[in-house]
Amino acid sequence: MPGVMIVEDDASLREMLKEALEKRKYTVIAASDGREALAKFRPSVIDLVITDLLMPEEDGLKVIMKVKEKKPETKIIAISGGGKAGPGSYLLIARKLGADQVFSKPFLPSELIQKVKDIIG
Amino acid sequence: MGDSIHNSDKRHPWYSWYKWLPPGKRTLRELKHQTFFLEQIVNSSRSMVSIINRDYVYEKVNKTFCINHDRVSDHIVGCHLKDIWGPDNFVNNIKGNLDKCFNGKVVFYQAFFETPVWGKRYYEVVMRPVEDNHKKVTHALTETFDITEIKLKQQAAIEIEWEFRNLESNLPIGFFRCDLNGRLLNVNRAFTRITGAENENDLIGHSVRESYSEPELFEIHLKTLLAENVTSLGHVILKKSDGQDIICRISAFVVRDGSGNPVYIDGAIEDFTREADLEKRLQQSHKLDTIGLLAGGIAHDFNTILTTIYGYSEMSLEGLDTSSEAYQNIKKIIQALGRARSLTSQILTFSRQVGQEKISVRVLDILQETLGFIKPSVPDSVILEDIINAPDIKIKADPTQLFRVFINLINNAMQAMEANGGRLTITLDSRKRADINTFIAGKKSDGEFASIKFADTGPGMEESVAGRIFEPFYTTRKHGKGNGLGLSVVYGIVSELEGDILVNSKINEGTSIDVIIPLDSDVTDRADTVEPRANLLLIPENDNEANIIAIALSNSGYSVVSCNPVNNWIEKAGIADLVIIFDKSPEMPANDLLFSLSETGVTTPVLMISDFDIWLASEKEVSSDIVKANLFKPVSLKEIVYSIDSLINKIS
Repeated sequence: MPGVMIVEDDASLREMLKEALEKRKYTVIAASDGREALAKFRPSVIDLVITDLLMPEEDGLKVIMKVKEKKPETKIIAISGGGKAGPGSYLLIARKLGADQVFSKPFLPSELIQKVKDIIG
Repeated sequence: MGDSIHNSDKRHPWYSWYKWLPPGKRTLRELKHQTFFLEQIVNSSRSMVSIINRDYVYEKVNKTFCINHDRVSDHIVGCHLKDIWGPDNFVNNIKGNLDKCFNGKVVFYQAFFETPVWGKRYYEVVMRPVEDNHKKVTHALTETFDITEIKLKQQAAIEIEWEFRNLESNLPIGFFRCDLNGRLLNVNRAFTRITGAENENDLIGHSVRESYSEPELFEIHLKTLLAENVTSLGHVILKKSDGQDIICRISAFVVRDGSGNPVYIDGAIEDFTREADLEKRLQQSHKLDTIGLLAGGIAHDFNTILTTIYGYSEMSLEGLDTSSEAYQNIKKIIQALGRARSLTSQILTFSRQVGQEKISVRVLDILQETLGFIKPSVPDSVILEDIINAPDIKIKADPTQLFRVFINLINNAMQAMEANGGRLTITLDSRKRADINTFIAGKKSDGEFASIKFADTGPGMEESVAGRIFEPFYTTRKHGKGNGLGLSVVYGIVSELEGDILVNSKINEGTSIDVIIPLDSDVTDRADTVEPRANLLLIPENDNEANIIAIALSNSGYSVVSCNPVNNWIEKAGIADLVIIFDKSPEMPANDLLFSLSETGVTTPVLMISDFDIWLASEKEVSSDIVKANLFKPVSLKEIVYSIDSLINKIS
């Protein structure tokens, strides 16, 4: 099954997304910040990265750039819930960096999972 | 003989001076002696002294005269005046005065003269007639003092005085002098202007006390001034002659005589009403910024938590019988989450953490759509009136957000007049910066502003209430009527547009809220020849909310066609790049439309814009393959444009 990496600093949301995706038989690797994500990223396993944008340590934009560097065909879904620069503009930057889809919190996880299915099957 | 002054040399040039000698000393010998001294005195004078006869010829000059002209006395005596001072100068400055002198008058005048040694200098000239013993004027005795230095100082003093007067009459500072009881003795024009008096005389003789709105404060000020050497008295509220209150900064000091006794009080007042108002509003705006920062941070974290709750709620629904109690309860949780989501979104809008897509838009277009949207819900007791003074003005804004601003303000006015009815007047105007008391609006622009004013005849607000209406959750309404975020959202959106909101409210008279937004200075029209970004079909047409989105999208460079889902709409959908369905359920069930599309095999992607609650409640029978994206109201132009672009990119 395709591999999905979840990068999210909020533990409960990270757990929930992990559970929801594992239920649909995806291989899921979770990371709590950008640094951990980049350390755990395995090009051979991961097809899609779902990343929050505002995180301590390395932020989501950095994750997108580094992941695209390591494996350009990796699909990206960026999620964000606000912040000083405005989620809109952050998400826009994310898209410019190559995010295939962006979600503003709060979103319905079913929608996210639908998108994951659309993108990597 | 000879002893008498009259018998001495009659024509002696110093004749007139002899008269001043004591009578007993007038022996010829003494006279000669005295004459010698006099000549010494005259010669040592710093003035030029000369005796001129009626032919305008010098008969005698003193040493200073010679030195100044760098000639010996013999070369001057016998010369005509015009040869010494030049013909023009002689005719213009000297001759007339000399003639007066020859007629027996003492003449004083000042003029520029040029001497070979000193060049052009300013002189004061005194000409005295010299008479013979027949009382006939035979000569003129002239003394010429160099007063250039004095004149320069005088001129400088005049200039300083002139400049000071200029300042004093042009600066908006009112100067006054009053006696020790506060009775005005003198005021300048600015003082008259500030206090609103007709002219200075109306004020003089009146006590400053009369202008104080709190007379006790005047007594304190007077006491402080006389007792201590305080000059700044701070801000006071003064009453203008028309009864209006103004806030003034007042400073004064006591003028004392040589022995230190107080004589007068001199002082200045400055009208600070405008600044005081601005300061108050600046404080409010800082307060709102702080609340915004705090609330925005909480909303951000809340959104993360809400997502988790959504997720587990949805997961719990799976496999549950829809008729089971658990299923129904979880559905209710999800509905409540919808309300929470709407709250956080409003807070984020207030705290300006949602960037806006700004496009050039005609204010009137949006105002008209808003009025069209709101009119059906206006109660009969309320008269809605619009005054459009500037129909063509454009601003840079997100039309969907502008719509939210208008809707919120109109709803607010309606609610204010709910009980007793009234009139809501909406005025669209363009205004110049100088006419607006604002510090926020258009910092970057000094041009003109759009002013959209909503004036109701409701009960009005106390000042303490009016100052807080933009604070989130601040509401004077009964519980259950609105969440107190409407005006906060308005504030957030308008601030994001570099605009300002001026609130004016009077109890029992009503409230006016004036939204000020900088005009779009970029007048270049979008070239029609530019290829549209995409062809969109918007359903339905003739819906005010959908119209605003149509305006927004066509101004953003899309080609937008609106139609109702009748007859050939499927055909139109087939040739469009994207179909936007504005879900107006239940009148026009979106499911039916999607069903028709999928049945006819149209593959054009669909973007749905729906109410979150309605969307949650509806049963999704059609596969989500057709609906490629779902947006929930209130939706911003930025979100729509983003969704359209990503959908279209995916296809191409």
